[in-house]
Amino acid sequence: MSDGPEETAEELYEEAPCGYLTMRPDGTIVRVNGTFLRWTGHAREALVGVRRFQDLLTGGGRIYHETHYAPLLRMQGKVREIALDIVRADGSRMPALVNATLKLDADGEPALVRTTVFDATDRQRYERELLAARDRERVARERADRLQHATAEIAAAPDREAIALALLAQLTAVFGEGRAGVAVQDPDTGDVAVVAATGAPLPGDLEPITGPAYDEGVPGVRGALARVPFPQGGSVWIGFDDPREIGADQRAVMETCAVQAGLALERRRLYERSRDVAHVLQRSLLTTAPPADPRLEIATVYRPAVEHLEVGGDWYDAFALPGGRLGITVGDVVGRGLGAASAMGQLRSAVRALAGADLAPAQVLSHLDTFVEQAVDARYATLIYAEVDPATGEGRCASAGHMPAILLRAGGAPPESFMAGRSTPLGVPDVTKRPEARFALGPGDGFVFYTDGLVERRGESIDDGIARLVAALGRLPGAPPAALARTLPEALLDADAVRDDVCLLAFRRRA
Amino acid sequence: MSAVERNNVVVSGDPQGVPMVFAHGYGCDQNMWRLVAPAFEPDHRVVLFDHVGAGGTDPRAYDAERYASLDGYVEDVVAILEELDLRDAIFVGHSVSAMIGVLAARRAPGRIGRLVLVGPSPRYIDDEGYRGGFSEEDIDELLGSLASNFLGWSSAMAPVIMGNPDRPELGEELTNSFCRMDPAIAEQFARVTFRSDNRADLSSVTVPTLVLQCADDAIAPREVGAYVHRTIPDSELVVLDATGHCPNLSAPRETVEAIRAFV
Repeated sequence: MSDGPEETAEELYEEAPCGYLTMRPDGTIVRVNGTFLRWTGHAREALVGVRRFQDLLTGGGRIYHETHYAPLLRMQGKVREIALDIVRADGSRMPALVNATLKLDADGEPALVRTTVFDATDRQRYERELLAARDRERVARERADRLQHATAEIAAAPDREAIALALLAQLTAVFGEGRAGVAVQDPDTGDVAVVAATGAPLPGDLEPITGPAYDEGVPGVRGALARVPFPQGGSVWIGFDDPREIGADQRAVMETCAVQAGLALERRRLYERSRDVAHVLQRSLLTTAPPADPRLEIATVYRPAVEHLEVGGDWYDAFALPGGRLGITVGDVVGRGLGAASAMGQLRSAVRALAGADLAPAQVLSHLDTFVEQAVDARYATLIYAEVDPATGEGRCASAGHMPAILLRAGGAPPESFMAGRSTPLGVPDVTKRPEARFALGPGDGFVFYTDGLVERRGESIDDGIARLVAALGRLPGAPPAALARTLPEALLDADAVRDDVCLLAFRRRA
Repeated sequence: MSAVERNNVVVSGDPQGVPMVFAHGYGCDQNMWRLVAPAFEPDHRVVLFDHVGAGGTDPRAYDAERYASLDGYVEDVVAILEELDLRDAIFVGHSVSAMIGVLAARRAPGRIGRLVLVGPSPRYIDDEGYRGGFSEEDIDELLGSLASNFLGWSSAMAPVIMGNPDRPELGEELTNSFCRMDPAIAEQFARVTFRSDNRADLSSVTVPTLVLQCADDAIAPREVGAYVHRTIPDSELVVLDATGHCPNLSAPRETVEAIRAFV
């Protein structure tokens, strides 16, 4: 030290690069250095013997001092790196890092407190930035979570009302309770209809808009109203009785939710339209009456699955062939919906056309194999096709991977599965030649053709299901086809759990 | 988990003596009583504990919903009293624990026979016709202070501290550990403490009550102590010649004497 520049202890204390204070145990300042006075603008005589250290803190800082700082100082004899704001003489605040040590007297009682104060303006600014960034990140993450949740809810909603309700629930979560609603516009008529709303909409809620519209309201005049249109027509709104701020974050959530809901509503509308078309198509194909022939009684039944809104691809058909014979078929196209319904229609027409050209059943199937190479939705369809001469009861039959027909015998003879003439579903490669079976029906004999929905049950093999069908038929000896069509679905299916469409065609030579 | 485990309950003193339960306030832990509680060990059964979230408790025991109001803390106190089967105990509550004691005495009649309220305040924020000493902005500033001071807390240290409370080699690192608290818990406890309003509960106190008021307390000013004394029917007020909110640390002898005279 002796070789260094001159510096007195007094200078070192007064000009130290930190604030220096000595206090009595109760906080009363007894000594303070020049640096602290310069930083804070306080006069020495305004502090020494007059103010306590905690008097120089903010209100919140005083609470912190009493609940953390002072107890820690007493318990561990020191505190380190405590961030506090010092209130300057002009009322402004100086962010500070404070260290203090407690000196005990000979009896171990607190005697004085030595405190150093560091200007932490830059550090605090940096920390505040870090904290703000963390908070922003948290807000962003929460928003992303909320939006993800909203999107999932909206996507999972089964119908228009559920989509609207999911959207309203999200808005309420973001904005709080308000007068909210969802309206959609019919693209054909232009009519706007409210799908769901909490609280009756006011006239302004439904006014047409082209983009997001936010009105934060005017005190005493009108409340706040936020509205976002769907690109496909209609809009979502949330309104309040009182004016309020509608933050950027809330706007972003609302617009994102509206886009999601708009898409979901549009998907739902298109889907419903396609479903309606499919139903019409299917009904038009299945409602043709079988040809009336006094020698052969035919009955049919078709039951859509309760679990599906979309139509299935099952069908039945019976039609007249040259020479007084009848063509009879039951088939099942893979899949559901408009595609399956139209494939079913194509196959049904193709069967009629091919059979009408006097092709034998196996040849009909072979031509259909070629046909489904073009009609992709019809590929892997199964079907059974039979031609029968009502006069003699003789006939031929071929099955492309379809459920086995059940042969009915007159009188009390037991029914049996008819396994002959079966091969793979349509369009499966490497089918060289379709087999064909011949049969002869005596008076009272007949067949039951059906699709898998009739015999499928959860947790049961299809063979057990077929055995159940055979057993059920065995309990109905000699029953006319109309009676079979009426009673078989009841007997075999659990009414509430029809998982697949059920299609059944029964025919019998009259005795 | 039993309340005794959950609240880090430490029992000492004379098992046959009248039980005394010491409850720490907002900020630190049961160490706040280190200069006071030992004075009662010769003739009292002394029970110390930490509120969940504070001191040596497992942060996993903290449930933001349960502790969203003072009720969760009150239930904990009642559970401790019941588990230890304490009757007519002297409950010494500092700061926010004074109000927790007021509520617990009502919740579990017969368990608490006397209340000692050290620096009590039924409401910290000013209201019409009532001066608690603080404004909403002060409380927000406090939350700011909490956010910049993670005393003795770091997520890396937490498991070490929790698993090894007695390891002396951690001594230096455990600086500020008396006030360590998960930052999120500290913030919620601060909100619950400083935004509570228990003025209406005071008149329901039926047990003899001692109000210990510091002459100069920045958190619970003298007029608040007088309000508490005025509102609790069977209460006496003792003003300690002490500065600050923690006479249990700054004036332990006076504090002990005043409590002794009361019990």
